[in-house]
Amino acid sequence: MDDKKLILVVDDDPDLVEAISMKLESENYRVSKAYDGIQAWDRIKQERPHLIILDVMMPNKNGYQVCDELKKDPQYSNITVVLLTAVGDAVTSTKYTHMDGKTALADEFIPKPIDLDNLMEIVKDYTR
Amino acid sequence: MGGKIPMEGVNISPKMARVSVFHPGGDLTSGFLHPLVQDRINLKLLVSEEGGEGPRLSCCVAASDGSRTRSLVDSDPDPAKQAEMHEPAGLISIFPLRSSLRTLGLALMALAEARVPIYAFCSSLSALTFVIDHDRLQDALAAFESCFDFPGERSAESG
Repeated sequence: MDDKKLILVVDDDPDLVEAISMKLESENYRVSKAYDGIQAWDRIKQERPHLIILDVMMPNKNGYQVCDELKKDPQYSNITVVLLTAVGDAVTSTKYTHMDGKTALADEFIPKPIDLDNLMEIVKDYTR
Repeated sequence: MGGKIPMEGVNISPKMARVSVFHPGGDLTSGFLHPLVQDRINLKLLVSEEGGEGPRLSCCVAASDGSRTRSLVDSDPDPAKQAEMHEPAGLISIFPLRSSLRTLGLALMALAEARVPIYAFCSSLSALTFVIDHDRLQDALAAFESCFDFPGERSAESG
């Protein structure tokens, strides 16, 4: 049995998904990928990841919605969620900034642009 | 001939403005890119060419930033600097490319057969992106669907 921890990376930017995935794989994690909220839920149900790195701004279903649904579902609420939040002043005109990230139930919040080393420290802390 | 190549996704951009700037003997980094940064105009894609006549830069900005970009270019007093704007442009990206020349070749052939003009294309860490006319994005998508397998639900326009 493969005892590597499974991390789900969710972002609509495929390059960012790839960059995070490469870093995680180099740190000996298994990685699953999704590019919107609906795909994320499919992966969560099929693969039950240990931790989810979840972008906020996505089409179809945004990260806040996915996080809220997940944390309210007793079957999945113990999965750690690291939310990638946009820097406020860079996206002032989008509807996403009207939702207050601090009211979401994510376990950690990381602002974009991402500090990959900081992200890895957080992932390691939650997967020990 | 093999079957369709499985892909993880395709992204289609909202309306963009395509800008080409040519400045013989000039410095386009300080004369074009720095003003864009100072005005906080995001570049979606940047193509740099160096020919015998001098450097040329082509980039895409959000359509809503098109007029600001034009003003920045027009405000330069140097008559040697020439700029062209083309609107509306669109970007279509398929991923992952995985450095596959077959994927690149099939994508180019699909767009050629659909008679979709390509203004620029580039690969990045995961994606292969084409700059085309915005009103041909659906034609390009249909062309790609003839040779690539995408997951069931395609992502909506992403910013």
